[in-house]
Amino acid sequence: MRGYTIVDADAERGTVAMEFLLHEPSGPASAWARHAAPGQRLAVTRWASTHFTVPEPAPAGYLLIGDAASLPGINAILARIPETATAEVILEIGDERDRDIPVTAHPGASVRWVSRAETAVGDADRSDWYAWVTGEAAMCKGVRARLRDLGFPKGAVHGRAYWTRGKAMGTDRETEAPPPAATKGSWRSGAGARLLAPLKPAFIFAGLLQVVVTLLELSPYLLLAELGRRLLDGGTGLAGLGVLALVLMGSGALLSGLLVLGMHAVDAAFGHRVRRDVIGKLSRLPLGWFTGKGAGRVKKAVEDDAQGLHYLVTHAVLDVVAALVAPLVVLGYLFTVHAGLAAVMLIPLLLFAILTARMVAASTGALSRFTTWEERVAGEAVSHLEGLAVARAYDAGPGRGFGATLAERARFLDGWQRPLSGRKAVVDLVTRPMTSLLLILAAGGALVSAGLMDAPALLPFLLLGVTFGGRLLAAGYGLGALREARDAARRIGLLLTEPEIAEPETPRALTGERHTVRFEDVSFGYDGRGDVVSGVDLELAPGTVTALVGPSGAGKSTLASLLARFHDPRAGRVTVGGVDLRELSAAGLYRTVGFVFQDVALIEGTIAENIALARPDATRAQIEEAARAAGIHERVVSLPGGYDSPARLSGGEAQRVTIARALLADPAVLILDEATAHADPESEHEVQRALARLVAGRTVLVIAHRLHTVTGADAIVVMDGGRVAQRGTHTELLAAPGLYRELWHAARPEGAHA
Amino acid sequence: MIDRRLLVRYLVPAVLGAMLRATAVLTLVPLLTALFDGTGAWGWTALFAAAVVCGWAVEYAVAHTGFAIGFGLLNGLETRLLDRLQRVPLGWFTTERKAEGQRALTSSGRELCQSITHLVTPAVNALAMPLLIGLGLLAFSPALGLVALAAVPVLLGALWASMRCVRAADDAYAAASGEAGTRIVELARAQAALRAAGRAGTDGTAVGRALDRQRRAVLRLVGFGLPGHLLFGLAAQGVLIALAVTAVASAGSAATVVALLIVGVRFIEPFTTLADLSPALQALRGTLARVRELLNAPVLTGDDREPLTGAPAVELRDVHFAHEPGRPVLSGVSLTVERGTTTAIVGPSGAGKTTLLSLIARFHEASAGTVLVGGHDVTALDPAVHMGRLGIVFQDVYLFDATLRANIALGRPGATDGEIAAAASTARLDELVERLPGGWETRVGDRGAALSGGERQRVSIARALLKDAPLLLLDEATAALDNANEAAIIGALDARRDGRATVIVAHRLSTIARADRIVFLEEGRVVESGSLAELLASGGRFAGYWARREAAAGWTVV
Repeated sequence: MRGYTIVDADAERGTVAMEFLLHEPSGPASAWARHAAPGQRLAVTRWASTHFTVPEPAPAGYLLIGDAASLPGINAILARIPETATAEVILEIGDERDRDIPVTAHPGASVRWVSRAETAVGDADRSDWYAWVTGEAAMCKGVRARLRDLGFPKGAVHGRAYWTRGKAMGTDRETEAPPPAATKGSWRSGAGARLLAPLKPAFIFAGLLQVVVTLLELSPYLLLAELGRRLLDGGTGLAGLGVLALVLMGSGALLSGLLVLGMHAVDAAFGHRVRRDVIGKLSRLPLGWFTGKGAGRVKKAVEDDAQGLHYLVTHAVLDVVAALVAPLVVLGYLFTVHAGLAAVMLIPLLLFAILTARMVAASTGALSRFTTWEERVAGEAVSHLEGLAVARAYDAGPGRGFGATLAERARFLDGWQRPLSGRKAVVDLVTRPMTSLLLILAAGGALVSAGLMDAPALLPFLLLGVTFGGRLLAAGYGLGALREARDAARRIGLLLTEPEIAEPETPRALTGERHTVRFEDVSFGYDGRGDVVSGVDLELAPGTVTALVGPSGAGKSTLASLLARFHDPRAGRVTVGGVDLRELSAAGLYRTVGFVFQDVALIEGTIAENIALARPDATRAQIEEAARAAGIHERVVSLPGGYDSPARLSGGEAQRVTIARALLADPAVLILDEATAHADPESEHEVQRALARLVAGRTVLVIAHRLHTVTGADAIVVMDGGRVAQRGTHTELLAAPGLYRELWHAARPEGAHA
Repeated sequence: MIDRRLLVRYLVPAVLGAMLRATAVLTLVPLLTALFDGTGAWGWTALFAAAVVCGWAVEYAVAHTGFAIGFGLLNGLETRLLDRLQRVPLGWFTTERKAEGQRALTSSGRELCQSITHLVTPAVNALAMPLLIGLGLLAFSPALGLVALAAVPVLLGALWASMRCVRAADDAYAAASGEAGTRIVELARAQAALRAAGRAGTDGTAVGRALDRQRRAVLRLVGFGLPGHLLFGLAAQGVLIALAVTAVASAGSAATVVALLIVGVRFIEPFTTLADLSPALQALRGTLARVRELLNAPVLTGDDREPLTGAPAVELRDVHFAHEPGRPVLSGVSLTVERGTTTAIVGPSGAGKTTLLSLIARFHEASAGTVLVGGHDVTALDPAVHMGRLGIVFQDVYLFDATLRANIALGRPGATDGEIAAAASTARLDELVERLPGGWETRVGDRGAALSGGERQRVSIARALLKDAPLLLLDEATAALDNANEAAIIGALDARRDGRATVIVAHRLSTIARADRIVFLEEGRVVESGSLAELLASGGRFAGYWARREAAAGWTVV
């Protein structure tokens, strides 16, 4: 972000093109570029770069702030973010000609050239926005301060600053009085922190106790040092030390045990609450959320992430405190014993830091290639296992290719690690206790013989100063675990802050039996992506069957799912009996509107419980009647437990149980996916007969994939690209040229056979 | 797996390194005695320094050898795993075993490779050091040496018991939270049904019970875990006190006693290292278990035998099969498929149709009875040779992430472009090749994701056609095709039959009608078999099935 942008990178050939912004006075990049020629080779070190990745979940908007120099990066971002996203680009003007630099066109972006970016930010509520701030250092500082005022959390502000004329220029910028305090927004990205907030007092308390425990655990070594000193002094009061050691050890163990118990109790309560919250949340999320990635996210949250939080509460915090406190206390103590020798103890640590930093610097490229390799190998391993049958049936299967991939990765690892192995060994040896001992004996021995130190003063060093280097390193691993736990908390927090479907405070009731269903200028799209359904008007008269047809992706299923309130429309409304779905309670809506879709969901329980799901008070006779009508009764009574058997059935059978369920629920309006009938070829006919009984006498909206199944519908609505393209009866539509006729002729009805 | 000479080259210096370290530690006794007595300690310090520096050199060498062993292990292991995978019966793979197998393939080699330097070397050191120090101490103070040697099993036992407790507690927690998690995921999956039934939020009972159980389990787990948490620490501190008391009680000078105390602390330190390594060692155990499971998986064996002349292409004699005991999938199936004929396997789901094909392909082996292919028991045939004579098109078509041409060419390595084009044409792929932007060179994506279900099936059929094997197994191979393509492909298969036997699992009436023979399978038994005319005339189970399928084909919603 120093006024150049890498474009057209070709990883395989290792070539790039670079776009430069030439400016005066020029910095090193600009100066170099002025004299650069194509084909010139240059050595590159990557240092302190910030990547842009499209954030997940999508932010409410993108605030991109920069200047002429950082505009290429902003242009690249504008090209990457989804077309439906909102973006605000604020560019600080340095020269009037800056306005001539082209900005990438984006349908949702507004661009402003301003004199002062932090003022231009204004004080609008930008909750859940993503901010990218790049530009000259002082400007970035000002903007970041302003964003902080607006409530932007650290994690929502990205980007990097540069200096144009050295640091001096940054301080040149005259500071303005800060604008009046603005309204603070709130960010879902802070969800993790909010989730953990109630635990903060417990963490602080436990952390403090852990400090005490750690000190108690160190005390035997201090007492040993004291014991040694007294022995060398003539050996008095040794028994007292022994007793003290026992008391300290006992209390340390007791306290540590209590601490562990306490944190587990905290964790049990917290874990319980989180799971309860997740369950409560499930019942308030729009149903459509579950058909997308939702179910997988729930799984991740309650399985992996819950485990992560458990580890955080019961171990990670205490471990990190212990790992940090012990070496620091020891080091502090040793400095009070003899500062000079204590300083010598820092040498291995320093060496370690330098060697590791150099190794990391040498590995940056390899590290990212390592990640790529791991992903590639994992992906190919899955393919290899899945394709094993094919690979064997065809002897030359690219399974052999997987062997080559593994060998190639091994070569990569070898090539990367072998040169480092020597250095790694050195790093390891530097932090060994024996190395510290050698230092203590050499330096300490010299100090003692020079009379600068008493021999007994070496005791604390010999007992405590040997292992703290290694321990300090352990703290690093602990911090990694903390970071993972924080990510887990964030994911659970995000799940708990997913937008909910609004329940009306005073729900309206549907009276009467027969209801007209209306879609009024309805538009809808998923998560800010383009509309899948746009401007649909549709009326379903009571007791009629309306079929939705059209090419795949036309929006048929999405439109139907709006009537089942899987989502709320972005614009327009859906009404039943004149009442907007949003004004009905969930219970009230689903008493009237039922649906039978392709994915069958049986709940844990008996077959009878599954059929009577919507009417738990139904008698066995009513349940059996519904099962008979759905053509599943015979199958059920053939099971050893009859209706009380657990609901573990084949696809077609389960489908008929859900049809029996819908028959018993008896909704006036029914949404049906025609593909339901074809889910299981063996029982296709039975399912079809059950569906025919279910449809009779209701207001039906059917999503039809095979045109010939709905030729008898009262109305056929042909959808194309989210809009209603045609409507009419089968005969009317077939008579007129149009999409329906094309589809009909292209389909060659499936029923035809030899 | 590991070169023996390399192992010697590794272990000898590794133990030598531990001995040098132990020597250095023991040198501390005279060194510190001299230092605290104020007599000259420089000679001893020089000896100490020499031992430490020599130790560095040796350990540096150990690291190098460990690295070489690690990489040898990595290469050897991955080759062996892949080789084993090629010979394991496909039926052996359950979902879990596939997941474990994937982990084994992806990371076990790398993990084992790294573990040599990061785990094995330190662990060898940590185990050898206390013993060597304990033995050495005998020379300076027999009592202290004995206490130290006695402490070795005590500390190792405490460490082992701690690990056991912690593991038991973790397992209990994982089981309880796993159940709660499963219930919540179920709840999420059933949301639509529950809410449509007006049961949103109220149906928390099964979930609620699981949550309560989980909460209790967490607290019980502390009961398990607490001793594990405290045991090793207390044991280590107890040993430290015992060493201190013994050292003080021993009849040495004050300086010697202090020196012995410090050596005592050095004696304990390796155990702490072991304790720190224990989680990683546990993980290594898991990795080794995964690798072992795969390497010990059963393998298919057999000889290369030519088919017997005159023998039927396939013959099943009273074949039984069950995935788990007591739940038979096939019970006493007998059937014969003559060369040059097509047999359709028909029946309701769960009848065992796909299992029957997989027994012929030897993905599984029959629990009882015999499957003969070309007159030979399949279990006596070399799996590779057997596979070489089979053409298979599955219900779930699997394509590799390669070009369209490469995926078809798999059928017969070395096939000419003309032959590939002919097979593709028979499988009605011409139109697809024309439509794809890259034509023949278009990549089909992971698992063929860039193609539709019907296109994938056609590619897979073309592949089987190119292979031109004497026995063709089709499992609902045309289910995703439209009628025109289906009729054309089945017709082409018929026309190019020349002695090839075909076994096809089918639902489509047109496909069934073309078969020479139909076998109606129900609950793992052959209920009826014969030609279409015979079966329809007999008015039995198949005739009823046929009638229902005909009715289904003409169905309308209204």
